[in-house]
Amino acid sequence: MMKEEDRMREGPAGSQPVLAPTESLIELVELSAYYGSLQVLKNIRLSIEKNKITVFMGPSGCGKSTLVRTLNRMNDGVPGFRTTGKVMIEGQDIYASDVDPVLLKTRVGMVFQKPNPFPISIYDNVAFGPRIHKLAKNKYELDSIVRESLQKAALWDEVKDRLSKSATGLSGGQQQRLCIARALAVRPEVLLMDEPASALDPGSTSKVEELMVELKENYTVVLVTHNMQQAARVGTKVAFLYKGDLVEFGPASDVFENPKSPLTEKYIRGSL
Amino acid sequence: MSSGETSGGSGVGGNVSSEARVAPIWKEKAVIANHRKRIFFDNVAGVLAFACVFAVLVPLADMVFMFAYRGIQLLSIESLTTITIGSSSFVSGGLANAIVGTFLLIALAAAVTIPLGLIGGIYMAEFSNDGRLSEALRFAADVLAGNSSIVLGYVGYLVFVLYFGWGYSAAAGALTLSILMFPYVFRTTELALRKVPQSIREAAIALGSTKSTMVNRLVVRFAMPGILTGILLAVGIGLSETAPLLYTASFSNYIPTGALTHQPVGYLTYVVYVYSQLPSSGAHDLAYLASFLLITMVLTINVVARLGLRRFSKV
Repeated sequence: MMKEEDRMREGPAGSQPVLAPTESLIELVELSAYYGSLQVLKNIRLSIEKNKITVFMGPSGCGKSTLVRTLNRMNDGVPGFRTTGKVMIEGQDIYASDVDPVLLKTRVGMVFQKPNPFPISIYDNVAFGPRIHKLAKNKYELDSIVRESLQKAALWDEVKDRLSKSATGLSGGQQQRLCIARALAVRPEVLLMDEPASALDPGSTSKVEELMVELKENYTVVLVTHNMQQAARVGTKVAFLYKGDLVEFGPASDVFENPKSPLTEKYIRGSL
Repeated sequence: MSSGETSGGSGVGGNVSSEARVAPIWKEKAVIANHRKRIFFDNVAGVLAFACVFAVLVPLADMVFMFAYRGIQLLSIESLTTITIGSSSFVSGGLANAIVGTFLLIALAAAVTIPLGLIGGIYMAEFSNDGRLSEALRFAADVLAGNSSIVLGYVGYLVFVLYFGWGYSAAAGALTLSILMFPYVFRTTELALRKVPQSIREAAIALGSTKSTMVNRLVVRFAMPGILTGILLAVGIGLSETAPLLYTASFSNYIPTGALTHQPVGYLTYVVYVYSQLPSSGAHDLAYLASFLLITMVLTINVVARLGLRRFSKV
C-alpha cells in the first residue's frame, strides 16, 4: 500500500489519483486498427494489469506490434492509420481529444526492437528526456536522474566510468539496456517493449529478461515477442494474436499448458 | 567405360558418362578460354579507368601548378594590401579592393542564403507532406541550380539594380549570388536530414519529444556534416562566379566602405575575366594572382569541409 502511494507521487502531473489500487491499469475496449482500408486489429478486448508483465505473442503480421504501438499512440504519425474503440488508462481513453499524445509518451514509455541509442554520449542519451521535460533544476539533479535510471536498467556499473563516451561504442545488449534507462528517465508508469531482445545474443537476452522481471516491481511492462520460451519465462499473462484477432488471453501457465484454442496449440507446437 | 577417349584433351566433348558429369569444370578448355577472355577485359577496363582518372587529374594538377608558380612569384604584402590602379589598358597596383569585395559579397550572400536554405531544407525533410507543393519546390530549386548564371545576373540587374534602384552595389551583387547559392544549401540540407535514421526519430518521439524539439536537438545535429558540406559547396560556388556579379556589382578599384547600395564592389573573378584580356603585362599579373587566390580559397574550403566532415561523422 505504501508502495502504491509512492508510485502515485512519482507519476506525472497528469495522472489521476486512484483511491483503491485497481488491478487493471489499461483496458482495451473493442479496439480495432486500420492502415488505410486494411484492418490489422479486430475488436481487441483485454486488460493489462499493474506491475505485471503482459505478453503479446504471435506470428509475424499478427498485429502484435501495432497493438503495442496503440498503447502510446506511437502510430499517430503513420499515414492512413486509425483506430476505433478505446484504450483506457486508469479510466481515461487515451485517444480522447483532451489527451496530449506527447505527454502520454512520458507516461507510457517504449523500447524498440533494434537498440536505437542516439549517437551522442551515454550520459546525454539518458539525460535527453529529463532535459526536454525540464525534470532537473540543476546539474546535480540531472546527474542523479541519470545515475538512478542507469542503475534501474542494470547498466550503471558497466558504464559509470565512461558516461561521456559515445553510446554507439556499447555492445548491442548494453545499448538496449541504455535505451531502457533512457525510457525510465522520464518516469513512465508503463514500459512497452517491442521485441526488445530479438536483435541480441543469448547472454544479452537473458540479461534483458532478468531486467524485465525486476522492472515489473515498479512498472507495468508490456512485452511483444515471437519467442515462446521468452513469453513463458517472463510473462504473467499472455495474449496470443493471429491475423488481427485476439485468439487467447490468460495466465502464462494456462496458455502454454492448457491452450483453449486449437490455433494457440498449433502455434505453441510450432506448426502454425 | 574405357579411358581411351580421355586422351584427346582434357575430358571435354563426347564424354557423357557419370565420370564426366562430376569432372570439375576448371579443367575444361571452353571454361579456361572464357576465363582468360574475362581476365583480359578486366585488365583493359582497369587501364581505361586509370587513364580516365589521369586525364582528369593532369589538367587539374597543371592548372594548380601553373597558377601557383605564377601566383607565388607575384604574391607580396603589397599586392594584397594595395588597391588596383587604372582601369583600361594599363592596370597596376594590388588586389586589396577585390579581396575585400569578394569577402563582403560572399559574407552578405551567405548571411541571406544559409538561414533560408536551412529552414527550407528542414521544412522539406521534416514537415512537408511530400505532396505536389514539395515536388514543385524541389523542381524549382533544381531548375534554379541548373540555370545559367549570366541569365540570373541579368535578372538581378533588372530587379535589384534598376527596379529597386540600388545601382551597382554590394546588396545587388550579394542578393543575386545568394539566389544562385540557395539551391545547394536547400537541397543538401534536405538530403542530409533524410539520411538520419527513422529509429532515432522514433526514439525521441517515444520519450515525449515534440517534433520540433526532435528536429532541433537531434536530427539537425546528426545531419550537420551533410548540411555543412552543402553550405561550403554553396560558398565555393559563390566564390567562383563571375557572371551574376558583372551586371549587379560592376567593379571598383576602391575598398568598399560598407555602403550596401549605390557603390560598385570589386571581386577577384572580375580581375581574372577582364584583366586577362587586357594587353598589358601588369593586368596579366593581377589576373594570375587573382586566379591563384581563388584556387587557394576553393581548395581551403574543400579541405576544411573534408576535415570537418570527418570530425563530425565520428560523433
